[in-house]
Amino acid sequence: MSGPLCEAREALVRGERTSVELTRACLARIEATDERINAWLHVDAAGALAQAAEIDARRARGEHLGPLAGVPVGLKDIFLTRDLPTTCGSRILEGYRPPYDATVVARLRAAGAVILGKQNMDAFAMGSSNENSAFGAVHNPWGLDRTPGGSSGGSAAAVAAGHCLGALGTDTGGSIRQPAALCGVVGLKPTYGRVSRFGVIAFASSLDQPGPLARTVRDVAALFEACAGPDPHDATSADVPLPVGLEAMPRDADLAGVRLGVPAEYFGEGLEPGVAAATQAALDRLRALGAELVDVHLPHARYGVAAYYLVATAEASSNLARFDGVRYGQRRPGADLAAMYGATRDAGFGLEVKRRIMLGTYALSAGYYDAYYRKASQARTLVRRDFDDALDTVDAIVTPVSPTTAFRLGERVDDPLAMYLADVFTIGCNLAGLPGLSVPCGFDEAGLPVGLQLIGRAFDEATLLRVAASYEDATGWCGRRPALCEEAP
Amino acid sequence: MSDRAPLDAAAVRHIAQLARLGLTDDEVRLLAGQLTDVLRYVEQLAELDTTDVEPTHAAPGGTAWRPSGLRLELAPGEALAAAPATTDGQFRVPKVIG
Repeated sequence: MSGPLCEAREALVRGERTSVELTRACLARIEATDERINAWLHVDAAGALAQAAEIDARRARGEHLGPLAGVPVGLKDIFLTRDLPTTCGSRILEGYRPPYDATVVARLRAAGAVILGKQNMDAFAMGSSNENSAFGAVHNPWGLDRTPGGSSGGSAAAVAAGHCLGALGTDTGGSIRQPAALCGVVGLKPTYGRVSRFGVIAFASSLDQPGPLARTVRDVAALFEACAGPDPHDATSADVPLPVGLEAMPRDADLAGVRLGVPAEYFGEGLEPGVAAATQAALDRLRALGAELVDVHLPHARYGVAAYYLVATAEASSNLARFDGVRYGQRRPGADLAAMYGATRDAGFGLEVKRRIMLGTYALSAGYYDAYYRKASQARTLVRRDFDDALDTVDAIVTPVSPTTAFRLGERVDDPLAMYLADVFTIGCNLAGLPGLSVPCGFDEAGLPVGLQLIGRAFDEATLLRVAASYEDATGWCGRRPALCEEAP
Repeated sequence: MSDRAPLDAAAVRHIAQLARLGLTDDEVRLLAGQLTDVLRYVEQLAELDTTDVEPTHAAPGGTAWRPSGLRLELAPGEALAAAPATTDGQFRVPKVIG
């Protein structure tokens, strides 16, 4: 299927809809259901309507408009926005208004997108359930007592609930793909370096990557194209040619000649029966579409979580040193500078952020660096080589996104390690720097969505999008909506 | 790594001091247990033979180069606007030296 974003864009071009109408409709849905979902930290209704009116006026004058002109979207609150508050889900940045836009935000604006506001998230993108937001957990539109996943849980829930036609999130260990899977939407973590990180509040700089969430693969492709590409402000952004016209992928294409790797390591114990069944059915469907399924092995995959939680926390402990109560954010008084730092950071950071700063500081501290940080960085090399070897023989790797469907809010908050294991299937992509995509592949017996993950070669997002679009066309899972969307308006 | 003692309260306070986190006593107790659990989990990395394995610190592709000279232009007032305290066009902090 095309998708609500691409359809809206066509309707705008044909003059059948105005951006003001689309924006009002999104704002009305937010108004109707966000009290129950809590997906938004800041809705800029007046600003969005003004942007929409301006796009409509420019269109009426026959001006040349960007590829997303008039399309209402949301932003995870990790992206700096010049005219909107930016908290990163944390009290320490409460009230902060950045002096500039992140590169991806500037690109969305240049493409004509209407920015509806900022979406809820786990504080500093640390979490897999959105319960680490300082501003309350997000509730999954498919079951309000369930987590939407995290850390881009507000973005995934908002897309699933029809609050916006697409959103930008970030993915450090699965934070786009896991909430996309748990909320039944599509999410793409691009190759490391594909999308600029400039103006994106840093968690783990060697792993972080912004990317889109939307209802369908083609909608995700349209957002990806608008955001990706090199940026002189980000020294890790790569100058690799970007395929164009991805969202115009042919309908109902078969997958003849496509080789897909299936790693046994991702289909073992710990997989919920509903997830296992939906994933197996998806593999059968991919084969029926003409893809060749090949056994591949990722023998170091089981060390991924351990390596990740040392590398990511080490980088986080360094990155989050900037929140010191001096240049921006909240400050708590202290008799001297050190006391002010300690009081500010204790009051401003939530427990999960403190836990990760502590772990990372320990992993980098004298006497422990070699045993923890260096060892984890070597394990990362082994994980990366596994993927490189496998992707020498196949075009993409197919796995579940998450071992479970959306779990109940509160179920894992007291067990950080159990929460970390929610990322077991998504972390490898980040450690290896590879692109990963989550596409809906069915529902479990409780009616909760299941996601299928495709992992590809570096800078080959096009293959992931093509395979996922073909699968989506053949199954129509993306057409299902949560019951809450049937309510007026 | 396997024989390491679990983190005790003193070790947690030392790390907190390095990280400039003023933890409460309750937080110290809670984190000592939770961080010990996580450290026990990550000790499985010791099973891996990493002899002659180069560490990966960033994704393949390396760092891109560009001519120097690019800068973000922020007026002093913009740069100071979000600061908790300023004085005479500068960030104001508590005294550092007695």
